[in-house]
Amino acid sequence: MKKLLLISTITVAFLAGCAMTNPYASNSADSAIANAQAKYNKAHSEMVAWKNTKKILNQAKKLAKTDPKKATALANKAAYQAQTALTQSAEFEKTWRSAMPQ
Amino acid sequence: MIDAKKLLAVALMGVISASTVYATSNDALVKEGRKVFVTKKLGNCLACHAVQGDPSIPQTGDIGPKLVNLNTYPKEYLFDKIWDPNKTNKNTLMPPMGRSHKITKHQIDALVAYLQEITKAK
Amino acid sequence: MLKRLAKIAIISMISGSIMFAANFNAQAEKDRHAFVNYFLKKFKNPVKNQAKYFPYVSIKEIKKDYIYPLSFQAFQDGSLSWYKPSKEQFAEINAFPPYEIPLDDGEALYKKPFANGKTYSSCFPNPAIKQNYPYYDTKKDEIITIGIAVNECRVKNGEKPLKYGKGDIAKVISYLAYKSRGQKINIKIPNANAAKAYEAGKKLFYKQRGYLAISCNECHVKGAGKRLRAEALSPALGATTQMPVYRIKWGGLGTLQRRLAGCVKDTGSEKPKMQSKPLKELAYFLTYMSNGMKLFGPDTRK
Ligand code: HEC
Ligand code: HEC
Repeated sequence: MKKLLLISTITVAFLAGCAMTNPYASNSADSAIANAQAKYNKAHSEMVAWKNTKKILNQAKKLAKTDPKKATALANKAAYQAQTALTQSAEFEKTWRSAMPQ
Repeated sequence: MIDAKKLLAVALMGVISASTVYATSNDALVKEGRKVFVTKKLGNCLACHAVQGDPSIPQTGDIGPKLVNLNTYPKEYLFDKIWDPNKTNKNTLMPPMGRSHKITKHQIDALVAYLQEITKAK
Repeated sequence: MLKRLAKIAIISMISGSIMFAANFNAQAEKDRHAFVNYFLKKFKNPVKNQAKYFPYVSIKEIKKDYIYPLSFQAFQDGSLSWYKPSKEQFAEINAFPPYEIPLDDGEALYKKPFANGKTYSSCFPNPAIKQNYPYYDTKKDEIITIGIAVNECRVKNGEKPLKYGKGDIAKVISYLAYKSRGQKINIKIPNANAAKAYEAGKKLFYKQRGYLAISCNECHVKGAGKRLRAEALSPALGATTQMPVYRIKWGGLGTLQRRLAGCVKDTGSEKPKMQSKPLKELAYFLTYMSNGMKLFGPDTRK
């Protein structure tokens, strides 16, 4: 019994380790894409999304199965753009009126 | 005695060759910086800025100041200005090309090297 | 006594709301006056005011290339209003205006009967109407641009709507614009929702956006009278008087909606759809800012 537990623990640990280090493990790009999609949707609905964010996100989706490493990098780039768009929009919201002709 | 002299010579040569390596790599950086400055898809800085000391630059815009004597500015100031000018000036017209990841940190270093070299009073 | 007090209160409430009703454009008028004054002052004497408005332009260049002072109506010409080299270039081009052929097409389309035998004139008996567009339709509770009006006319007559931005719709609008030349822009803000739409358009105009973190204001108000590389920047005052325009770059006519969508994209933003709510609001705001200015469309631009 004890032995079994040990073996199964090792197996689980091994599998988990695999999933973490193997770039070709299934789904490794999916969470990055989901994160980027959520941020992009928010930026888009507030009408502040950047020019290429959607395109980058779509590229990531296309590569999700064949090249998850690249897909993840692209998704992270899209997420960064969407987040920066939202952050700067919140900042400029405070100051834009001061730029009007007085 | 002879040995010491030889040693010194070797050491000197080492310093010299190191500094030429440094000089050429800085030249490369300056060259790259100029390219980032004038390329529309990269920095596109010339859309708004003329530069002191580089008459070979084609027509420049006049929305931003002519860039002069930037060798007297700290490198970090210039880096930060190019990374995100909104930090110091909320209503600046200058785009945050670093923060928006349109150009890389390395490309900004190149821009700084180019601007500091070219605007040196000669 | 109490009754009388109540009466007074009611009367003052009513008159208050009447006053309020008449004042949906109060903020917009304040904005517009400041806006117009800014441009008139800026272009009154750029040499004298160089330090204030054109700090990075040399006096020599101003003396050589700038046209000033500019009258209110002069702003109809966009960047050609103040930049001599462009003005001279386009005076030559407009000796044979490239918009003439599509304008003739527009007239033919306007007069050609639909399948049901009626024409556009069943909707626009007097084609000199462009000065009233875009307007806020209080019943539909939305902004009606001239493009939407043209398509509504078609649908009412059993025709398919046209694609926005260029092609036939730009031709028909250019004919309406031509017939409206000399009319003064007359945009109204009839109710609270219209005022909200105006405010939304104003924000889109002034708030920085996109990866360039730049606003329309920065290029077309503060930047007006400066150069973005070789491009002389047009003042936002008068920016809708010349629409639709024949652009050399487009090789054809384009509508205000097309130009606005392109300019939003140029800030490094996602391109908005033509006739989408934000873009209509932007057009509403921008056209309001030129209230009182005479129309002069169609025209030619770079
Ligand atoms: C849209 C116009 C625009 C573009 C494009 C632009 N700038 Fe600027 N820049 C400005 C304006 C306006 C200022 C002055 C206001 C300020 O400091 O924010 C300025 C200021 C600066 C300064 C500070 C100058 C000083 O003497 O303090 C530097 C350095 C600079 N820009 C470098 C660059 C570089 C490098 C690029 C290209 C990556 C660039 N700019 C692109 C408009 C622009
Ligand atoms: C980076 C600078 C820049 C920004 C930001 C910008 N534009 Fe432009 N815009 C231009 C240039 C350059 C032209 C072509 C030259 C001209 O006529 O000004 C132009 C042309 C136009 C025209 C046509 C003017 C004419 O005479 O036909 C309109 C209208 C316009 N822009 C509206 C806008 C609006 C609205 C925004 C904000 C969404 C905006 N622009 C943002 C640079 C800019």
